[in-house]
Amino acid sequence: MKIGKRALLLAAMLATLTMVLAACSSGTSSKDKTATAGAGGAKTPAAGATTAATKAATGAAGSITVKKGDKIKIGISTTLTTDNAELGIPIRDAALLAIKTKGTIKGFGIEGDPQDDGCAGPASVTAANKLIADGVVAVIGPMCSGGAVAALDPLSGANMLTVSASATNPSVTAQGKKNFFRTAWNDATQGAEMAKYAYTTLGKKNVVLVNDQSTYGKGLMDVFKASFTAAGGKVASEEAVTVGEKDFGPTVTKIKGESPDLVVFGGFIAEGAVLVRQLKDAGVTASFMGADGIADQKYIDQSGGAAEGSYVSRGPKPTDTKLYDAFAAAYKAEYKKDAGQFTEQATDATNIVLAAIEKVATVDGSGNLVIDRQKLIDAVAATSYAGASGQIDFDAKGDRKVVGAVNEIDQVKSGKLTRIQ
Amino acid sequence: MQEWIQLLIDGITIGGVYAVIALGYTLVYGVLRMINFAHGELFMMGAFTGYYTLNGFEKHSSLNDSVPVLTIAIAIVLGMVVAVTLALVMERIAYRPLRRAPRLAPLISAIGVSILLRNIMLRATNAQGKVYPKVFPRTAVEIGEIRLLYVQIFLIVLSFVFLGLLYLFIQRTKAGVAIRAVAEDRDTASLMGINVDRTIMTTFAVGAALAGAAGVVYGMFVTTATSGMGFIPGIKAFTAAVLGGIGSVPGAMAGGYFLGISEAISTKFFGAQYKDVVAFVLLVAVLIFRPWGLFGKREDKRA
Amino acid sequence: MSGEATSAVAPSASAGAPSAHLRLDGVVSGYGQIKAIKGISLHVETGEVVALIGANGAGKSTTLRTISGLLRPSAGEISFEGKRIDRVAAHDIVRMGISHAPEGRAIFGRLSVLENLRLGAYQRNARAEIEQDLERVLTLFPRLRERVKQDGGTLSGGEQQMLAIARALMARPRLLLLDEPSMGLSPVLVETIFRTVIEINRAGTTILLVEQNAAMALQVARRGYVLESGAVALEASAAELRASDLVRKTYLGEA
Ligand SMILES: Nc1ncnc2c1ncn2[C@@H]1O[C@H](COP(=O)(O)OP(=O)(O)OP(=O)(O)O)[C@@H](O)[C@H]1O
Ligand SMILES: [Mg+2]
Repeated sequence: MKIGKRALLLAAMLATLTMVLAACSSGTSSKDKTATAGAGGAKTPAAGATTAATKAATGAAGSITVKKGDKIKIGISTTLTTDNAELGIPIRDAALLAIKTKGTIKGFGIEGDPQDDGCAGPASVTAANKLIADGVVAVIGPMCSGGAVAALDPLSGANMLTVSASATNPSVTAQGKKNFFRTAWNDATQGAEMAKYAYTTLGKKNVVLVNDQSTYGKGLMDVFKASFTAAGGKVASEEAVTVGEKDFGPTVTKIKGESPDLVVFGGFIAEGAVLVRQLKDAGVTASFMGADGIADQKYIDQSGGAAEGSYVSRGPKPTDTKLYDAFAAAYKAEYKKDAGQFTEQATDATNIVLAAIEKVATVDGSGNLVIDRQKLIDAVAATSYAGASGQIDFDAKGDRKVVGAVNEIDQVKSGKLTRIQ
Repeated sequence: MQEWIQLLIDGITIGGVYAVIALGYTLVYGVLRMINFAHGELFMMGAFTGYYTLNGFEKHSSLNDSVPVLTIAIAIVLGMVVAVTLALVMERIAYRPLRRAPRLAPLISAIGVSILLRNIMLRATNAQGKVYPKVFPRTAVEIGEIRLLYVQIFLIVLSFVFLGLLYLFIQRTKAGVAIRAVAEDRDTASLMGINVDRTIMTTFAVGAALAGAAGVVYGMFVTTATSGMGFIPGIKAFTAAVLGGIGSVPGAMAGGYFLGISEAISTKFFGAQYKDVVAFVLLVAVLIFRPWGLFGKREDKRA
Repeated sequence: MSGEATSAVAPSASAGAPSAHLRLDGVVSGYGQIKAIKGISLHVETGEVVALIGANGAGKSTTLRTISGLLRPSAGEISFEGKRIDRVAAHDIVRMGISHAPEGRAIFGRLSVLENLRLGAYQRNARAEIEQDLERVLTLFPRLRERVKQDGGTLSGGEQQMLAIARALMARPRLLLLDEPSMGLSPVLVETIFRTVIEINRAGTTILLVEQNAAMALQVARRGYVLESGAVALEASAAELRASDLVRKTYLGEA
């Protein structure tokens, strides 16, 4: 029995470790890092097929050489497994579509190299290292803020141009990494806008905040709280849910006890949909507000009707939607699905990267393509691009400047997200 | 006061689920001294089977409206069948060949099976959560501020029923006694004429049936099925089994409720972000001070 | 003709008495690489009590474990009532009529005495007969009757030994393998156990008895084998063994 007990302890420690990892990160632990890349995506011939021998070589002077006849590789770091894959896979697909549309740069083909970053620190670092080893020219991603903060270490070490379409937490750009940019909006912008809307337009004074313990969700709620209380509102309590759980009974009971007039959620679809439904089941009558993490039809579908009436902030949106509509149509034509949350940012991120490559890449004497990493980063920093997600200009930290945009607020009406601001 | 009662009910609701899943861990550990880490995925597969069954009825008939009792019963039975089939296949392919290998080998094999099942479902569903059709009315019994959905009552009652049936099975039937005998001493059990391999399969099957059924009912309660949904309940149920004393049937049941209620109450005090911490502090404390669990029996020298 | 029978049910083809109840022919068995018995041949005739004696580690228990199917011999053959059993699974051997009360009693400590006893009859189906046999063993061991509800683990050593024998009898075996039934018991209890062994044999059960207590065993048995380092050193009638120098010096503790 001695061995048995030891095995038991071992197993228990393993379980504890997994849970701790799950709790520390955004709820998706390293358990998924061996998962099949490309899972769930049917239309991506490139997925997982790009791990062959590294063909591009990083030169000593911080440049990357793509040999004649080889393809330019663009890394895509997003989660393809875990429940958040319902956001991660469309991001990958949007990036792949942009690559496909671009076709070639100076006669060189382009291919995407998607890696599963688990939407969490450990797996995102693994994905980053894999992409560096694969010899990619730039990385679209990481998908989630927690993963980005961790993965920026190896990525900036390699002076790798990194543009995330969806990592929105203020901490990501607060690190001051020069190689990092994002087409996603900093949550500081969105969180403050949400608080303003809740307090001023909706007239809510007493709120409960719920986050999913992810860097994104927690960060967004922190910004909301600061702005909301500064405006004079009261945060009755701050709750959290665990990603992957489906029964939030005790949390709901506690919220009910607070009798708030608004429940604000920072997190993603899977938990948001369950939470709004269970609040309704428990008889909580307060309004529900979420952000871009749930701004998707799937949130409504999965809530089984309980999402009706929810307010959903989508982050700053261009006042002119012509480019967005064109992108959405192209996406739908390619994938037979509606373009989901973050896909327009993903296509913009990819297009900015491709344009920068086109600008700085030179063909050397033997017909190889040479790309200087620093010049590439500088080119992106100087970008002024009108994209599907609006006008994109980066500030010194790599965040988007708020120009020509207003924070979009939708409300779920008759089962559809309907823009009300 | 009413909030406390509501929290207690919340705890009993999820605790019953933990308890039913925990039995699978404890039974398999009993006979094999092995933690079947893929057990939570059987629960998940049950939830998906429930979804596909009920959704099928919804799309192709009006039986969900006319005879919900029947469609729910069919969903539960199918959930059990799918989980049992999977459990038997995994026992045969992933565990039995490793029965004489070092103990870590089947454990790792189990983690592999767990990842495999999760990714199969992720792929099969295109990473989309599945939403149960409305079979159970989302109406509730209300007593003052206390509110209990009918489906929640169903879940609570069914957990009790499953626990009771399992207890009778283990205590009163010949197969149940055989499972207990194999758990205690495999060689001597075979000297009694017990087919040890078959008994181990029975054990897997019984645990899986419980997990599959729990998956369906839980799926109806939370109204969704996702590929990752077995992970946390699986880990929690494992914790419950160890809390109660792994290998002990009453321990797994008590451990499940104990954990569910502790989590609910700690949510009130510390917020849900700390309830996992509370659960694992309990676990570590039990492992240090009472390694045989709260309700388990101390291993005798011979076992 | 040696042990090259092609079918598991082929009649055992050894020279000598074909009527042998149990026959081992050049059986080699052990644990992994360790060969604990190295070519044992022995036979037990219907109705006999045969003793197997030998020093610690001689291979007595290994022999019984091999007969009952817990160990698979790496060479040689074993037949019971004319059928090869050396490839048969342990749980099927019980069904064929061999019951093994293992060394150290191996009571299921968390099962009640009654459950232990019923497990003995696990492979049988005739309810009425089982109840009858239950009554019979409880009459044979009245101490057990008072304790049927108790967990096996709470019994005293002697009671556990009684339970082990009683449980083995519940299978209604035609051959009973007893491994050191007297181990750790008081002289009075040893006396009782051996009297019971004789009773069981009189009632028609053939017995292969492993014992450290050679004096006792040779009183009960008709014939005996002496095992040394995994091989048969001596085979003779009980009376002859009692008289032999080897046995007297080594196992009966006489000068
Ligand atoms: N499980 C085991 N693994 C390895 N070796 C074993 C095992 N069991 C017994 N042995 C070895 O096999 C040999 C024979 O053991 P066995 O138990 O048959 O002896 P025995 O004659 O019954 O002795 P005793 O009178 O002490 O019971 C011994 O050398 C013993 O060390
Ligand atoms: Mg012995």
